[in-house]
Formats: sequence, C-alpha cells, structure tokens
Amino acid sequence: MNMFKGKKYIFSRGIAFYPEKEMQLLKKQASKGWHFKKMSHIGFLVFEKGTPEDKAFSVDFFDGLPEELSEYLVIYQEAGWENIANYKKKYFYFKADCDTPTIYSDSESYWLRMKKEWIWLSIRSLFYFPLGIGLLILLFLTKTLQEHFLSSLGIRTLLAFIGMLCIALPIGVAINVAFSIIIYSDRTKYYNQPERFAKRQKIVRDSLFLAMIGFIIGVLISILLKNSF
Amino acid sequence: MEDSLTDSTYLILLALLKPQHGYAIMKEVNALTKGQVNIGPASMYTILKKLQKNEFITLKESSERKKTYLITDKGLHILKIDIERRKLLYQAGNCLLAEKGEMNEHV
Repeated sequence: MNMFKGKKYIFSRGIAFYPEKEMQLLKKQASKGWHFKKMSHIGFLVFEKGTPEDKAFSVDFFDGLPEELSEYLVIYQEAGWENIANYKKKYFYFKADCDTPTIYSDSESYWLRMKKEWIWLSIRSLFYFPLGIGLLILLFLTKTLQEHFLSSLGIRTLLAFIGMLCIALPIGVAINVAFSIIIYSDRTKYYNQPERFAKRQKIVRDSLFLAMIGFIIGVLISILLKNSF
Repeated sequence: MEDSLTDSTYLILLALLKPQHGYAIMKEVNALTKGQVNIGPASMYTILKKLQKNEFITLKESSERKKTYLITDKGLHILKIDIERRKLLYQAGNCLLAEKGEMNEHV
C-alpha cells in the first residue's frame, strides 16, 4: 500500500477471479474516504482522498460491441448504479446506495457472465501461445549455431524465458479457471450476496495452492525439455 | 435455451409483448409481480442479449442510448409453451392442496 499526493495505490486481488472480494475492498476504502478512481494498466487500484461514504460497489464484465455500450450503461444508471470507472472497456465498475438491489438477480445470468469472461480470458491468453512455441522451435533449430548473435548464452536464456512465459500463460489461465470452477463450484448461488461470497474467497490459500501446481508443472516441463535448447 | 424458461426470462418475454427498452422492462416486471421481482441491470442486459441471439426478441428501434425490443413469433411460441408448463405446475399444486382440504380461499 503506497500513498502520496492524496492518492493511494493498492495492488488488485485479481478482478477476473476475486471480483466479490475486490468490491468489499472498494467499499471499505470508501468508508474511510478513499474513492476508487481506476485500475492502472499494471493492476494497481488507484484511490483519491475525499469524504467518507457508505456505498455498494459492483464490477461487471462487458463483452458486447462498442456501440452497445451506451445502452448497457443507461440500464445500470436507471437501476441506480453509477458507472465510476472501467478497465480496458471490458470491466465496468459501478457504485450505488447500499439498499440498491444487486446487479445480478438470478444465478443463470451470473453463470453466463462467468462463462463469457473465462472464454475471453482463455482466448486472449492463447494469443501468446504460438509466439512461445515459435521461440522455442527457433532456439531448438539454432542450438548448434556458432559465431551468431543467437549463439550468445544471454540472448538464448532471455528468449527461452520469454518463450516459456508465453506458453505458461494460457496454461496458467486454464488452471486458474479450472481451479475456480472446482473450489468455488457454488459461486453462482451467491449471485445476490456478493459480500457473503467474498468472505469465502481465500486468496492466500488459493495462491499457495496454484503456485504449488505451477511449480510441479514447471519442474516437469524442465525435466522434459532438459538440454533441448 | 432449453424448454423451460427461468422466471426472469419468462417475465422479460411477458413485458416484451409490447415494445419496450431495458429500464422500462425492469419497471414492468416489478409492477407485474407486485414488487416481488427486481431484475438487476447486469442480469437484464445478459438476458436481453441471449434472447436476441436466440431470436426470441428483436430490436424494434435503436437510438444512441436506448434500444427498444419486441417479442418475435418464435419467442411468443416459446412463451406460450412455458405458460402451459407453469399452468400444469400451478394446477397440480392447486388440486393436491384442495384434496387435502388446505386450499386457501384467497389463492
């Protein structure tokens, strides 16, 4: 947590997997007079100092066309939810008086939202996969090369690292999604009780568990690919 | 969309027997159910898009801020089937309670 010039920065818990928890954080900060302004590109929540207020916060994933956006926001506005920020025009943040009904009113539409979001995340992360594979193939083919810029150990290590990262990203997203579906299989039942669900979200436990899975996969891959590059 | 409609979908289709825009549908549903059902904006938008994709409703008029929807013939057909299904459930409940002599006069 950093503060300067009447601003405060808190690292996001992950808007894709812990939105309920994150909204509780916004609410708590607002009650202390820190108003949520935006999420920065690298994932910091930015707050500005103001008067304390007691408000409810929600975030929704929007996957419509740009020309559908104004209709989307008008529906929220008329239901009492004021749009306060967005992240890459995909995640829209809203606030409302605490007695305003929740933005989701049935589990079916809540489930549809989760599905849309996860499909979008997976497709977006898959974008890097061919790049990663391409880099590793390049390294493999140039293994015996001498006196070439690709024979420098530093460059090879860097390219191998980037390549691995590009391959790991979609695998990581897939594991995260699978983990979320299994561990929080009853999430849709909490469509209108996000605060109750937020209490059940255990970020530290989940991160440790996912890091362990990541570590095991990493070790397996490096054993598999040993001396290939 | 499977054969049975969720309550929200059912009510939205009912509201779209006449052309209406998003928020008007929310208010209509609330009035139809005597304040019992409030459809949230996120659910409203999600269901409207799904109904549109399934061609159960169609865009009647479209301006920058407001889009007006109306039920299609296909939507009307599905709605009628669902009303029959709901009638069956309702009648079954009514009959069995009456047999048991517990029929409430005001229902």
